[in-house]
Order: sequence, then C-alpha cells, then structure tokens
Amino acid sequence: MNPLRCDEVKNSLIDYLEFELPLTRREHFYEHLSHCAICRVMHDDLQQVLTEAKKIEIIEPPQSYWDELPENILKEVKSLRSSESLASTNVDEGTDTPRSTLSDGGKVVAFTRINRRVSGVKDFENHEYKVQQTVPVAHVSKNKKSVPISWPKIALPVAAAVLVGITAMFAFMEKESTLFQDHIGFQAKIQSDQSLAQLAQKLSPLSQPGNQLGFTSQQVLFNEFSIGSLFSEAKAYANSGQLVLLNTHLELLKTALKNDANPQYKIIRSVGQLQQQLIIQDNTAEASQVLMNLLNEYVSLVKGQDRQRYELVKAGAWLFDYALAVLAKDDTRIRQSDQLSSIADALRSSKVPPGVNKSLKEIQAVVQQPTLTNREYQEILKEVENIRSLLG
Amino acid sequence: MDDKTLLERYINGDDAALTYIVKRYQKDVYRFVYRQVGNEADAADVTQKVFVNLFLKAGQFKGTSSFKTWLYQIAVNQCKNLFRSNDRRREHGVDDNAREFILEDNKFEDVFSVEKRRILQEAISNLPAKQRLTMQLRVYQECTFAEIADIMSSSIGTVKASYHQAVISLTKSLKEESYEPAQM
Repeated sequence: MNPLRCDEVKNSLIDYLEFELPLTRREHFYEHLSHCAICRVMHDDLQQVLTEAKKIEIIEPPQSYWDELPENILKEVKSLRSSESLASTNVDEGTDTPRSTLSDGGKVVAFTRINRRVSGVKDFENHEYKVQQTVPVAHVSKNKKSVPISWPKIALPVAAAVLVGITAMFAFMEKESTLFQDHIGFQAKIQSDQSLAQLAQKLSPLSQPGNQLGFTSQQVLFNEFSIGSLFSEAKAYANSGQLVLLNTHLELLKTALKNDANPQYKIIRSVGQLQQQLIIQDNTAEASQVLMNLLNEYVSLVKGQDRQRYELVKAGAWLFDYALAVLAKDDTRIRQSDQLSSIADALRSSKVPPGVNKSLKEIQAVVQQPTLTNREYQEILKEVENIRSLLG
Repeated sequence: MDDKTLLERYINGDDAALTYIVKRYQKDVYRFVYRQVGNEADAADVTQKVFVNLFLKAGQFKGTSSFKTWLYQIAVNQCKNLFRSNDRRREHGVDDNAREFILEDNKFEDVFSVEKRRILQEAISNLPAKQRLTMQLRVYQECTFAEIADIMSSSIGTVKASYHQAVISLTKSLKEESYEPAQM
C-alpha cells in the first residue's frame, strides 16, 4: 500500500468526510490520518465545521402556516389561472399577444387544460381564513421580538380568494350575456413601418399620470383613464423591447394604481413583481403578456365595483392604441366606427367634460370620409390628444 | 405514490395531489429558503411562491431530472428574485431573532459551542452565493453532488470545487473568529 502524501490528503479531505472516496482510498486516508497529526487537525477542523453547521437552527413558522399553506397555494394558482384564462378568452379578442402555453414533454398544454379542477380535499372547502396582523414566532421567549409579517403577506391569499370569486363571476357573466363585449386594445393589429414604441413616443404624455393632485371625485375618477392609458403605453414599450421606457411607465402605472379610489393591491404588487422580473431577465415579450393579463384582471375587478371607473379604464387603454393607429396611418384601425361609438356612449354616460364628447364627435365625423390624408390624420390626432389631456 | 404520478394527477384536475406534494416538501423547501434568505417572513412568503410557480409550470416537468431537482431549481430562482428585488443579497444573513433563538434553544449547551455556531452562521451568510448555495444543498438538504449540479446547471466537478472552497472558508472563519490573538 503506497502511503498518501499530506498534500494528497489535504486536496481530498472533504471527499473523505463526504464519503465520496472509494473504499480502498478511504483506507489509505485512515492510515495517513492515524499517524499524521497535522492532517488530523485539519480533518478535525473540517469535520467540526460540518457538524456545527448541521446544528444551526432555523425559526419555523407557526403550525397554522403549514396547515394553511396547501390551500393558500391552491387558491393563488387558481386565481392566476383564472386571470390567464380570462385574458385568453375575451377582452382583447385573444389577438393582442400570444396565448401562454406550457410545454409538456413535446405536447403543448394550454393553461385552460388544467383550469377546471375538482377539489379532492374536503377540508379546503370549509376552511375559513384567519387574518391577523402578526404571526407569533414559534418558541418566542419573553426577551425576543416577534417577527412581524407584513399585511400583504397575509392579505394576499385572501385577496387571491376574493379574486377567484370575482373572476368566476365574470366568467359566468360572459357566458350568460353579451355584456362582456369589451375592446380594451388592439396594438398587435396595428399596421406600421415603425415600432409601437416609436409611435408611442410621439404622443404627448398624460398631463398628470399617476399624480392626481387635489383628489376631487372627478379627478379620482379620471385617474382610471390614466391607468388604462399607462397599461397600454407600457405594453407598447414592452412589445418593442424598450426596457427603460417600459420601466418608467410601470413606475407611473404603479403610482396611478396607488392613487386609485379603491387601490387594487394585488395588481400593484404584480406590477412590482414584473419590474423585479425585468431586472433579472429583460424578457419584454413576456412582460407584454403579463401586462395584458393584468389589464384584463384590473378591468374585471373595476367592472364589478363601479361602471364609471370601468368605462374610463377601458377608454384610456383603447384611446392610447387608437392614437398609435392614427400615427401609424392605419386606416383600417382608424375607421373602427363601432368601437368609436361604443367608447363615445360609454364616456358620455360617465359624465366626462363636454370637450371629450365634442372631440369624439369630430373623430367620428372625420373617419367617415372616403379618403384619409395627412390633414385628417392630424385632425384626428389633435382630438385624441385633447381627450387624453382632459381625462389623463 | 411518487412525485411524478402526483403531478400528473394534479394536471388532470386532482387538487388533492397538490396537497400531498406540498405537505411532502413544504418543510424542506422552507428550511432551504430560510437558510438562503435568513428570516422567517421572507422564507414563508418565498416558500409559497415556490409552490405556486411549481404548479403553474406543472406541465413543463418532463421527468428528465428528478422532481426534487426541479423543485429546488424553482426555489433557487425564487430566492434570487428576492435577493435581486431587495438588493440586499450581501446584507442578508442571520437576523437578531434567529440568533436569540439559537442561544435560547441551546441554553444547556456549552456557550462556546453556541458562539461558534453563531460565527459559523454569519460566515455562511457571507459566502459567495454559489458556494453558499452548494453548501446548503449539500449539508442541509442532503443532495448528492450530481443533484446539486443539476439544480445549479453546473458540472459535478465545479460543484465539488465550490463546496470544498466553502467548507475551507468556513473553517478559516471559525478559526479566525474563535481564536483571536490576545491584544498586546
């Protein structure tokens, strides 16, 4: 048996400790360690580290966390799938961005494949959420501070549960009536030589995006217009891969959402998560899809709460895309008379300033003309900008 | 029932399968995440996100690697999300509560050993990210080097080298902190 040298032992000592060495080599190690004090000290030090490291304790959450975790996960997954399903089946005619699919070993599995589910755990059905501001830490001594868990961490599962209910309700409404004939945007259909970002940059910014000072009831209401518009604008930058502009508009969008009369914290948090995701991976195409889903989710939520606000979000998003179509001189999109009428009716019923109705009437008149020239495009754009400045 | 079968049952609409999977792995994932993020609140939040992501991507699991490997890959990514979003990767380590807990829990042990463990815990949190991750997957999650290589999309050799480096760094830290030379 050839004795091992100290440097050989040193290089493979961790393998020895981790039982990664072949048995014969282990015997050589053992032999060497039994007579070499220097290597033995090194061995003992490393072993001590591994032994002590395994003893490091962690703080376990309370039992209620474990009890509720499967249900919370299930609800959040269902909520996310519901919003995905809603986005792919209605509002934007499924054409604005590609529908998400999951690959399953060569097969393509759409989200909807696992959308309708059965619950096999009866306890889940009867479970009641207990909302509390802090969760006591296990084994907390009198000298120790409890670890506060912020509201969103606890409220999110509840919000998710509420969302499941709301989205399910709207899915039902969609089937039962023609009410859900929304048209939030049509960016993907716009024919243009320029990118959506290039077009978007030509538009005047909203006068007070996400910064509705004063908070009169009307201003709070018109904040919804800004939210819709900012969703579309962010989407345009996402579609064009303009990361910096996308981030700027996500920030504006978040502020506008926070200034909402009834802030939708789940949506705000999701926008924040999207920003974080973009830091890790600048997948703007995916960001566009996420924004579409969030816009649909937001519209669904607002629709259930306040018809006026709902109309304004929709108008904000739609008119932004319309402005892009005008800049792109895409006559087919510009001449969407039915949609223009629908937006005009909705805004009229929302008691917007008279200038908005006047501008919409002008646009409706111009698009009826047999040919559209630069003069008409300029005229329509001026009216669209007027509406945006009055509402945004 | 094995994980892949449970996942297939979940994909086919059986929500009970989700519960089985969560209950099987929730504590392992939490402990792994906790050792990465260093506090209970984030660990609880990230653990939930790991499973939500797992079930959202259920259809993507092809079974080419083990379910456990896939699960930890998701956990690693979720931890990275948290680190990057909070921009506090280096600051993360042992929170005060954790330290107090360790002291409390080991009150009958030799105080010197408890102190060594505290030093060790800090040293682990200060390891470069890859070394820390390798160390934690190996020591706490008891993954094989092949599994760690899969999780980290790396080679076994690189993982072993990283692990060796981590253990040696920790040994040095422990020696330096524990045996400070007397002030002259």
